[in-house]
Amino acid sequence: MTFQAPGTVAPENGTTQRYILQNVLNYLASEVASTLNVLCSEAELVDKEALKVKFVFKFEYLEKNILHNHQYLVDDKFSVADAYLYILLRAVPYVGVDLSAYPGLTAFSATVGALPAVVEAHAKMNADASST
Amino acid sequence: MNKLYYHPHSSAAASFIAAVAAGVHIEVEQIDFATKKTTSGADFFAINPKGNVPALVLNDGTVLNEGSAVLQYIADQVKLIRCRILCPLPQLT
Repeated sequence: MTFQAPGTVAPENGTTQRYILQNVLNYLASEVASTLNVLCSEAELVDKEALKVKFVFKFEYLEKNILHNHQYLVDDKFSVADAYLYILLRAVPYVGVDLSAYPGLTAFSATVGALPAVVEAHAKMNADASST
Repeated sequence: MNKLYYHPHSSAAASFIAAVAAGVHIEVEQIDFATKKTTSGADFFAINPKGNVPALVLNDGTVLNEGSAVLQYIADQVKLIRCRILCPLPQLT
């Protein structure tokens, strides 16, 4: 089988940190991504300006409660949750929210975006790779 | 080999990043959001009835199509790789 030098991108199953990872993933999916999807949609049934107010509250939570004094979301190590938040944050400017008001999240995006694996992944996606 | 269906401009890109960061080798294929066909022309709804990405098709045919599960599955392949190399072979008596 082929493999590259493996990297750990999630805490061990069964550990408290793994449950914390699942906690964060659930939040990113059910609160952040879902709101982003509604803001991205063309549906006119939603008061998007009111929704944006709720949306940025989630950034305040992430910035003050999770990323405060931490470089990554879980256990001070890069994990799949960081990859997920990083990708979601890339879409935020498209819905008219300015992330510059959140220096912690801005720094987080820059840190994750500069990781060699992330740079490599972007290059492979752009090249329409057939495998990782 | 496990296969990830994704789109680079969707949240599924996180699963792609996870695989590269973890050093896990998986087959990947992009889908077209407009036609809901894969790059090779297959009907994506036949592969994943929800039509969303990421969708990870495992070797046994199981389809994982929620990001949280896909991300953790990819992460957990790393330990399996390590164990295959580092775990002692069973004693044959």
